[in-house]
Amino acid sequence: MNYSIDKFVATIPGRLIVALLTAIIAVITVVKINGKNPLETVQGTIITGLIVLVLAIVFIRVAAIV
Amino acid sequence: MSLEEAALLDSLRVMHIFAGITWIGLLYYFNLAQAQAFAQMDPAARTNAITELVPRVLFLFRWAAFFTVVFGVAYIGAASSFIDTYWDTARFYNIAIGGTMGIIMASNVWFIIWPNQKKIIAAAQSGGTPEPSWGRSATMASRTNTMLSIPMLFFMVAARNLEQLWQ
Repeated sequence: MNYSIDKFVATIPGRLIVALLTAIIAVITVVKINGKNPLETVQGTIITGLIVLVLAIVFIRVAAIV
Repeated sequence: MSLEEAALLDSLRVMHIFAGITWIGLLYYFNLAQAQAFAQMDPAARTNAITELVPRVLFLFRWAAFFTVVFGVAYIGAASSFIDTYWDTARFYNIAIGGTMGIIMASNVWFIIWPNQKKIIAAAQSGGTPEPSWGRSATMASRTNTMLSIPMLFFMVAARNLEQLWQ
C-alpha cells in the first residue's frame, strides 16, 4: 500500500468506502427527477449504478493520491 | 500456500462465481425482460405466469443469492487463514466493498423481494388482487439490486485483477 494517509485508508478502507457508498445510495434513492425516483426506470437504474461505481473509483484514487 | 489450500480456494471461488452468475442473471431477467413483458400481457396470461413461472424462477433466484454469499464468506475465511496479511491487501479491500454490496443485495432478496412476491403469488393463486404496495416494494428492492450490481461486479472482478486501484 502506498497511501500517504495511512490512518485514513490503510486501517479501515473497506468500511470507509462502504459507508460513503451507502450514504450516496441513500441520497440517490430519495432524489426525484421529473417527479420520479431514478430507480423507477431501467435507464435511471443503470445510470445510477454507473454513477456509484465512478464515485467509488474516484474516491479510492483520490485517497491514494492525497 | 500449499497445493491443497490453493485447490480449496479455487473450488470456493468457482462455486461462488457459479452461484453469483445464476443470481445476477435472474436479477437482470426480472428487471430487463419479465417486468416489461408483464406490463404488455393480458391479465389472464400474467396471472398464469405468476403462478407457474415466477415461483420457479424465484426459487433459483433466492437460493442462488444465499449460496453466493455463503461461498463468498467461506472464501474470505479460508483466504485469510492461508494468506499472510490478507486483511491488509488490495485484494481484500476490493472484495470487502463488493462483498458488502452483495450482502446488502442478498438481504434485499430474502427480506423484501421474496416476502412481497410470496404475497403476490398467493393472491394470484387464490384469485385475489395483490396490493400495489407489494409489487412496488419488491420492484424498488429489485431495482436497487440492479443498480448495486454494477459497482458490485466491478469490485468482485477487481479483487484479483485490479489490485493497482489501491496503489
